[in-house]
Amino acid sequence: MQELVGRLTALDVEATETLKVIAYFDALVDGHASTEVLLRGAAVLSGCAAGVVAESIQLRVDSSGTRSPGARGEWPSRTFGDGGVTWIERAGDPHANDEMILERLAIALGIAVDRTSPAAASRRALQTLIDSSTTADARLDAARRLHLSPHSHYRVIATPANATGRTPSVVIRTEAGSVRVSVLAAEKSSPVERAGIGVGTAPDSLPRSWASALVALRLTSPREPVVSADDLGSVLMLAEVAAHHEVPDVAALTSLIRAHPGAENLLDAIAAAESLRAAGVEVGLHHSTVQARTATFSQEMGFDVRSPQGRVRLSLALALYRLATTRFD
Amino acid sequence: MTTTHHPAPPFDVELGAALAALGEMLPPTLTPDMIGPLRQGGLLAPPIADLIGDRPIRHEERVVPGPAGAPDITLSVFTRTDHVAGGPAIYHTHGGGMIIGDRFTGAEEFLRWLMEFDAVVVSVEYRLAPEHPDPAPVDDSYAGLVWTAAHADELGFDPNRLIIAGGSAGGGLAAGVALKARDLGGPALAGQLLIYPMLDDRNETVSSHQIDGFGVWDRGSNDTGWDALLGDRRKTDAVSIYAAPARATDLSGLPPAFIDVASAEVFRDEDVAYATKIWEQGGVAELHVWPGGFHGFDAMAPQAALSVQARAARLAWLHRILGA
Repeated sequence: MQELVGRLTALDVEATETLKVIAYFDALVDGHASTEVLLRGAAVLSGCAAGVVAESIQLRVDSSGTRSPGARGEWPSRTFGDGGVTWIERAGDPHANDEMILERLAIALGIAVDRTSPAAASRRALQTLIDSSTTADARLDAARRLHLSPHSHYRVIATPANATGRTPSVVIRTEAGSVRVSVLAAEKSSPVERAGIGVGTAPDSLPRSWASALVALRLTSPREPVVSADDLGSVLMLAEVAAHHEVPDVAALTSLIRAHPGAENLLDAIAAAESLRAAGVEVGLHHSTVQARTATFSQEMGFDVRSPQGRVRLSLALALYRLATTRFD
Repeated sequence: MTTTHHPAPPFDVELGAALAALGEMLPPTLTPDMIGPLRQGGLLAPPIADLIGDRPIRHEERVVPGPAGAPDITLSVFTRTDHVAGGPAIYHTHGGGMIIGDRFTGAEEFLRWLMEFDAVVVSVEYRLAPEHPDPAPVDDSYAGLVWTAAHADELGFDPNRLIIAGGSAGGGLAAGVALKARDLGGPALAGQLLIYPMLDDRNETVSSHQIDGFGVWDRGSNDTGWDALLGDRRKTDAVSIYAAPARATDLSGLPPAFIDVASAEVFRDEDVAYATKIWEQGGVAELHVWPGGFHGFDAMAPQAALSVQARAARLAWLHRILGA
C-alpha cells in the first residue's frame, strides 16, 4: 500500500495549499518537534533550502531536508522570539505557499526555541518573578530557578529594550513601551548607560521592585541617565497617583517645552542646580540669557520657578512630565 | 469474547505531521467499493518515464509465459544504459493490498537500488484480486521469477546474485514466492527483502486490532485486501502458505531475509513473528521495527529522519547480500 497516500513533496507553485501547511506545522508543534524537523518541513514543502539563526541555534538544511552548511544570504525571511530569524532560499519569484510556510515556520520555531532553550526558561522565570498577578509560591519557585536566595535582597534593573548586557533578561511590554528587565543582588551596583534601579526586596516581593524600577527608568533624563528608586522618596507614590489625574502644571510644562526647544534641559538645571548662575554654566548659557528665559518660563508656568517652593513644584512637574511622555520603543 | 488492547504506539512526530497534511487524500479504511476508484485515481506513483527522469536507465517490457493454463504476464526489465553483465538482479513484486497498484508501484526506491548496484531489476505485472483471486497473484509472480532466473544470461546478471524484493502485499508475495521456490526446487534466491510484508490473512494479532480507523492500511483495509484475495477460504485451513506465509510452520531452508515494519501498523506483529520463526528454525533474518512509523511511512515522507534511516538499513543489507 505504499505510495497510496501520496508523498509529502514541494507544494504547488501557484495554487495555495494553506490547510496542508497549517496541518503539517500544527502537528509538528503539538509533537514538540525539534528545530531541525521544523526546518526540514519547510524545506520539503517549499522545495528549497531553509535556515534559522536564533540565540542558541544556527542551522540550515538543503531542499531535501538534509543538514547542510551554508551562509545566510538575502532570502525571504521572518523574525521570531528574541532576535531569531528564519528564511527559505527561494531564488526567483516566490511560490504561492512561501508566505504561509515562512509564517508557520517562524511561529513553530518561536515556540520550539521558547520551550527548549535555557535562556528562554530563565526569561520565563524572570517574568514570573516580577509579575504581581502570580502567587508568592510561584515567584519563590522562579527565584530558585534563577538561583536567587530567599534570604537575600534583590533589585530589578529596568533598561530600554535595546540595551544589551546582563543576562538573564526579559523584555516586558509596558505602557511606556518595551523595557528590558534583569535582577541584581541589592548590594551590587550596575554600570549601565540608562537605567531605572528598583528598590531592594526579598525575591518574592520583586513585583514591587519592578514597579519602582519602571518609574525610575521613566524619570531618567540626559542629565540623570540612571535613577534609583531609593532616591525618589515620595515621588514614587506620586507617580502612581499621577497616572490617573490631569495635572495643570504638567499641561503647562508640556506646552512650554513644545514652544521652546531646549527648555527641558535648562529647566532641569534650574530645578537641580544651586543657583541660576550654576544652571547657566551647566547648560552652557550666559547668565543674562538664563535670567531672561527663567522669567519667560515663570510667566508661562504661572509661578516663580526660582523660588524654593517654585523649584520643588518645577521638579515635580518635570518628573510627572517624564512619566507621561517617556517612551521606549 | 472481547479482548481489550492498549492503544497503538504514538506516531513519530515528523511522520505524524506528514500524515496530518496528506491524510485527507485517503481514508484510513479502504472498503471494497473503493477498489475501482483507487485503480483509476491519480494517487499512485507518477508515470514510469517521469520516475526514471534523466537517469541512464533503460526500460523494456517482456511478455513471458504465465502459470500453466493462465495468460502470459508482462515483466518490466530495468537496467542501466551502461550496464555491465554479470552483476546482481532484483526481482520485484509490487504492493497494493493484492487489489491495486502495478509493476511500477515501488519504482521510486528500486530504481535507486538499480543505480547503486548496477542491478537488473525485473518487476512483474501479476493479476490483481478480486477479479483474479489467489493463487493468481502469487503464481504469476512465481512464473515471472522462474522465467527471469532462466534468462539470467540474456538479461545480463549472475543467477547466484538474484534476490526477491517487495513492499506490503508485494512483501507478502515475495515471501510466498520464496517459499514456493524452496518447495518446488525453483530458482535459488540469494535473499528476500520483505518491506512491511502482508503475511497473515487472519488479522488476529494485537497490532491488527490496534490500528483500526486511523493511520494507513488499517484493520478494515486489511480485511478488504484479504477478502478480495481469498474469498470464502479466508481464515480457514484452505489458505495456502504461499498466499499467507504467516501460516507456514516450516521456515527453514529459506534465503536470508530482511524484514522491516513500523511499530504503528497492522503488519507489525505478523512481521516480527515471521522473523522470530525464521530464527527459531536456524535461519537468517534481519528485523527492523521502526518506532512510530505507519504503513508505508518511508514512501509518504521520504525526507523524514526515520524514513532516511529505514531506507539506509535496506541499502546496507543489499550491500552485504549482493556483495557490492
